[in-house]
Amino acid sequence: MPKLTDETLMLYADGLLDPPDRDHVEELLADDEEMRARLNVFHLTGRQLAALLQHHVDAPVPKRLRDALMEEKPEWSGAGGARRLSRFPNFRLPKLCVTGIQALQPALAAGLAMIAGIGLGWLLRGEAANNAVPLGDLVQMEGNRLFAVGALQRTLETVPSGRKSTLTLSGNREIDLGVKMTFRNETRDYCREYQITMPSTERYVGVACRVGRQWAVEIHAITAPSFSASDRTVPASGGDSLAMDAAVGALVFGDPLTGEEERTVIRDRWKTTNGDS
Amino acid sequence: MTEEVRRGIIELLPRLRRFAYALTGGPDQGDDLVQEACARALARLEQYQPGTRLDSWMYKIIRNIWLDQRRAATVRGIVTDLDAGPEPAGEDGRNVTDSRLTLKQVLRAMEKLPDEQRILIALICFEGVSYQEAATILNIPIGTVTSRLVRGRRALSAMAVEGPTMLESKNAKADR
Repeated sequence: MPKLTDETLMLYADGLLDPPDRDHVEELLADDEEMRARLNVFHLTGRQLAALLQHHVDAPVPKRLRDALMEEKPEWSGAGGARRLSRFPNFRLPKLCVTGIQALQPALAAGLAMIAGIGLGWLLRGEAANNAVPLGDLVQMEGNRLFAVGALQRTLETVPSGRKSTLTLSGNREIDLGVKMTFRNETRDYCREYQITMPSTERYVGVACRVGRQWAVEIHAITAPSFSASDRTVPASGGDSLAMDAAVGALVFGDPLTGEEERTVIRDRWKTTNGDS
Repeated sequence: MTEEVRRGIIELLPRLRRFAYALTGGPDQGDDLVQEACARALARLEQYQPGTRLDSWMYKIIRNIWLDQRRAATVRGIVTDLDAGPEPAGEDGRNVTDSRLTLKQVLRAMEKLPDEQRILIALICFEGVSYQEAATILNIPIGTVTSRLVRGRRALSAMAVEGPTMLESKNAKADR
């Protein structure tokens, strides 16, 4: 007796077969217990799963969701931004070091606390001075731009989003370098949002975009825990990401790369479709 | 146009909340995700093409933010513990389908699925999106939708009924 594939059984269970095919499937099922058991898998997991969350659909929509849609300027701009932040009472605006600031929306730029001087933003501070990471280990200035070097450059070049690499400093101190996502900016350059975590859990986040064969730092920020020991409060989950989301949102053009797309461009050494790299 | 889209998204909120709940495994995490998606949608209204499906656009935004959060969570080491969350609402704390799968069983099993399978099950099985529309939203061929969905539903059923450990490695291998 011919066996039906699982794909056919799934289409049957979902009511997607034409009548002649459906009749044929039913004939075969009538005499085949094993096939009926396989079919049951797709009945179990079919569209009736929606009923499991029907109570959630029927429940009143929380006010905060409606409010999110009624704000005139929902991202970092005046009162709208403040309302979003109010969900995270311990949240502090990160101190951002922004290069290429002209790329950011004026309203966004005005809402960020700037650090004058790129080098200051790169001193991984907040810990004792002897724990600071030398600037030259991670970035170098060329002209008026800051480029990733060393471990940061290798991480941006080769590490998939969601993974991290570790840099060991003197005294067996380690910092983690991770990538959060990859996207393309308005000029279609690849950009990556990165994160640097110090042994003390102090965290830096930023965005670097690939220019030629280098990664130019566009945004760099310190996030919680904050600078002083007395301020070591960690915001509620997601709080720190709101600031970066707003900043990154000004750079993103289109959707972030999927895992598969990212694997491909890493494998192809970041060559763009028009042959540039 | 802005007002029209805004109203459209408000009407969609109940469905978007269900989709996000199915993806994240929790009502609060789901609502956080929807809130983030609303903010992003309003900030990028110029990317919405009038006349196309607003629900698909919003599903896509939610999916993208969720994937970003998953990647970030891997870096940060955040782990969702379904046992730590509140018991899902329903009769005797259980939502029982005709086929006797409970919400908790399903969400626990979903948590173990590869992300792309989880997204497809949330879209197609929870939201009733057609295979073709899911292919459009995810920008993948419909054949890929079908094969991923078969694998995902087989794994979901096995893990929901028999427990999560048995098929995790097998499913992970099959999805490569």
